[in-house]
Amino acid sequence: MAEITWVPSFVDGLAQAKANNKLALVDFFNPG
Amino acid sequence: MDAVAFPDPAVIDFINDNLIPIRIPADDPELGSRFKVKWTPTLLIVDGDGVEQYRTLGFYPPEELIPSLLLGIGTTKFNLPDRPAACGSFEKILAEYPASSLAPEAVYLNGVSRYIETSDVANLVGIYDRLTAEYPDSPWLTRADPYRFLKK
Repeated sequence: MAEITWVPSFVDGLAQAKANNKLALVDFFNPG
Repeated sequence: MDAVAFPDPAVIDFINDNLIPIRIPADDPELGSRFKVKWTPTLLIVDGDGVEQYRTLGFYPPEELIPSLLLGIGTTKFNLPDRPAACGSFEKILAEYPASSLAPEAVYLNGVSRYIETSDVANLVGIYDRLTAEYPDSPWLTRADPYRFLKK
């Protein structure tokens, strides 16, 4: 089953956003 | 969001195709403080430099989350400014999610974007006319009300 391919690192996510010319979606979640 | 919106196939496809999705615990000592996260779920659209461009707070059902993300993408493009791209996002909301609670804001921002690009006040009048016809109960009609005086 497909899932959202979450990146667990803010720095890595921004690097991917820049490399792919995309914006980043940051989900601040409740860790419980 | 994990229970309803994020497992939705359309949401999965939209996020994976259009955004780089990052998950951060809200109690992250550096990022939670930096972005002033006080409640969850908090979703941010950030640009490649890590600058926040759009924020939502609270839960969205799948049929509202996608237009919300489109509004965030459009707002970011509006701010860059890349207004043709912004219009593309706003018009996608209006074409594919016209019943969304976010559609009236898309009408407003789309018309404003077009006005800035063209200086044609017909775009502002168009905001008022469309909101009056299609979303007469929206608070966005109040914000657009002065544009009726621009009619010739």
